[in-house]
Amino acid sequence: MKTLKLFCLLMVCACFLPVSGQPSLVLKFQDENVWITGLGSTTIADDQWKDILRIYTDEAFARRINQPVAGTYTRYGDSLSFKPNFPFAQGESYHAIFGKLELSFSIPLKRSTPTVTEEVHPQASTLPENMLRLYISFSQPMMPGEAYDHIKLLTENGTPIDKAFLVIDQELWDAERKRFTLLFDPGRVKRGIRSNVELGSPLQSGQTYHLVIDSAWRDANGNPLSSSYTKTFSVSSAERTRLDTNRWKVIAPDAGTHDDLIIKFDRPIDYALALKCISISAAQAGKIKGKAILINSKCWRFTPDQPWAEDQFYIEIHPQLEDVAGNNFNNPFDIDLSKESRQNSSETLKLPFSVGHLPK
Amino acid sequence: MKAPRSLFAGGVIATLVLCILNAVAAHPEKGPEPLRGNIQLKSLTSITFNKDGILFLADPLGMRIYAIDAKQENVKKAMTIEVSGIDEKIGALIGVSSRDVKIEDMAVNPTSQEIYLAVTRKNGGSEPVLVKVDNKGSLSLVSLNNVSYYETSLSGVPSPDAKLPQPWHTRTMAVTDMAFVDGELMVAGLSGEEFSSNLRRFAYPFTNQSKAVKLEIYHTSHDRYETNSPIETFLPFTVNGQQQILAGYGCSPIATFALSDIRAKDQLRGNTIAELGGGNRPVDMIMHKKNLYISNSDRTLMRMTPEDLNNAKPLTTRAPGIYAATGVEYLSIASVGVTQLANLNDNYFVFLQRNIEDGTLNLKSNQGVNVPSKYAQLGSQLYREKKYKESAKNYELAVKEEPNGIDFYNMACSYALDNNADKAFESLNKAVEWGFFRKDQYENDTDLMSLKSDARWKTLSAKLE
Repeated sequence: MKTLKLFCLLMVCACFLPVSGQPSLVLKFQDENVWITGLGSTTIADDQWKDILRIYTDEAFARRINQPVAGTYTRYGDSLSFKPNFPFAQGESYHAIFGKLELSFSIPLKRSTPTVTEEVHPQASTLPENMLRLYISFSQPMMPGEAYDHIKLLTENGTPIDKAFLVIDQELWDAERKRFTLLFDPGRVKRGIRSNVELGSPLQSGQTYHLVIDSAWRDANGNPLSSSYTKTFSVSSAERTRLDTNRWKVIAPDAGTHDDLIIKFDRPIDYALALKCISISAAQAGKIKGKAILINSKCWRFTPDQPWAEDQFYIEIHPQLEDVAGNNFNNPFDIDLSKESRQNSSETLKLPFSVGHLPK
Repeated sequence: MKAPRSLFAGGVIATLVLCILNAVAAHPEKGPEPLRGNIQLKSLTSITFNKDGILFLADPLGMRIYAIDAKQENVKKAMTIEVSGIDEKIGALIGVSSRDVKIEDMAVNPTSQEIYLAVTRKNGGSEPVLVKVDNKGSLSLVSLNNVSYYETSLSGVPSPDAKLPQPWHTRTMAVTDMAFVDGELMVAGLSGEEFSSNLRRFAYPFTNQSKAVKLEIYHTSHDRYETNSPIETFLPFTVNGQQQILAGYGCSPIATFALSDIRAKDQLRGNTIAELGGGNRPVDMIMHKKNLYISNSDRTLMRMTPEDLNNAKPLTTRAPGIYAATGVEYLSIASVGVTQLANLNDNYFVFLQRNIEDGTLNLKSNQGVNVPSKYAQLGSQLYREKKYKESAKNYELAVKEEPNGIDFYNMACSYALDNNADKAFESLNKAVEWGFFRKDQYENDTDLMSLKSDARWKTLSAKLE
């Protein structure tokens, strides 16, 4: 069987021996496809081309891996094109083989604006010992499958802390792969858990740490980050109580102004959830449109699109809101089930406020 | 192990077949009609089949799950499979180096015993790719163009309407595992924002509705505190006649939940039945020949027996030390670097293994570690006592209980020594059929000497490798 196939292949190649006076065969890379020109008339069936013209990646070629690149073969007169199923990748080299003809070509890395690590949330410079969640945001989409190789937690003097984070093979990205969610290993954050007792909490109150994102992390184009990024923070005692709006301070704006409504929290609040779970409504006007920001994890500021009217206003808070340690209104992150049970209210909290009146 | 063949040998022509998937058969009951067109995945991190060859694809970035009919009929099924350097071969197929191949998940199509791999082609836009390995170990791409499919939303909560700066308003999640259980697709996931672990259930064909249960486990092995940590991997299994879900958690309890409770309740606390020891997370689990196999990030491949699982008690004591295990005992199999697991057939399972010496990633198959049945043990004892007729009878009972290549082979030996050539050949052919076809074993076994002059030996020998 093998001998027969080999014979057929030799016969096929013999068909292309240039005839004097006819243009000779040319193998070339052009317009993102591989081409053979000068085929003349052949009797080769469409489904045979894949056995005759083969394209290999540099790695397959160097390691003699008998697996060509998948693609579509199309005849145009006396030319043949090979279009790969996935475009030839930037930074890769390829080798095309057609009988005795060989062609090597490379796809240059696309020069693009370097991707920058824009922010790490929470922004607060002091975080609780039982810190649970961080968000890292980038200026452009990133490459998946590399995150945990490029994020390190270091002590103040630069000693790496092993197994500080919860590794999720699938990784937690937003739809554009511009925001990465990083969780501290909950097993090391919780009280009494073996890894907390014996490996110890990765963060210790009173100490300073560096979260380092190294520049070798590639963006979606395969380019490294513009530079490494370090967030240095100090650690305070653990926060193990549920959220309580009585501990918040609300600074109401004046009617008729565009002034901000300000909520000052008693502790650092989760960035994504603060922007998602808190909104403003009014008894008559309904939902109030505007722009919310969270400053330093502890101050939520809302600027209305329209001036504040005379109305009864409410701060509406979805019970999913969490602080940076994963405590919410229903439950602290850590519950001793022998003393209390888990609550699961899904009711939105409503915190009334009135707008002030400017002196006339 | 076969070495990679020469690149340019004319005889070795890898066939590259774009598999066009069958149309999804209309559901017999009244249900939604399937869609037809191109499935455009944003990501592909988890795949699973049901027994009819329906393939489920999870796209957490696109917040969708798709189902396509990948049923194959009249396909020659592989008994075993081995593909060395699978990541390099996938890279070669999709035009990148192995560094840019991320294998996300593996599943076996039960109707064809072909292996499907969910892959991310990292270089060039991080494209999701579905690759198929056929019974000869050849790789091909599975096309998701112009197929019939069902789809449903993964998102349990509608997006908030507030205008928030990108990318903060989008809901993000990871799907950690999926399994088809008794008419429903179950999906374990983890939110990128609020911390909760839940198991969503989707009736199939999809109706765009799902139900979720919040799962907690009582960390009796870790003092009194509970956790709602994410499930890393799970599977359905039956304990003492009751349907259960067995779930593996990071750091690293194994817990069970009754399926009836999962269906009836919004919130559920499971029984922790084992602690695999700290500093590790289970990566994948399968049931093979009634044994539970667990692959791990930082430990060997493990096996738990059905007897131990049936007798499991909820843990009430702490593990005795930091890396110590407690609860259901496991056999630590001398196999490290195993990640994905899937059942290939009744006799073999397949797995991905990173060779720690040369760094290669290999797809392999294995029969697992099997305790011989009581009949096989008796068969072996009677063989040693040279009571061959009785020995063969016990092997007959063993294969009736659980057909397998080794017991068919041993049965043939007893028959051959009892001078029953007809039965011996019948058993040897069965042994080959059940994956026991090592030529040197057959050729060198003195028990089979009497058969070698028989004309049937030549036919048998041709089937051996």
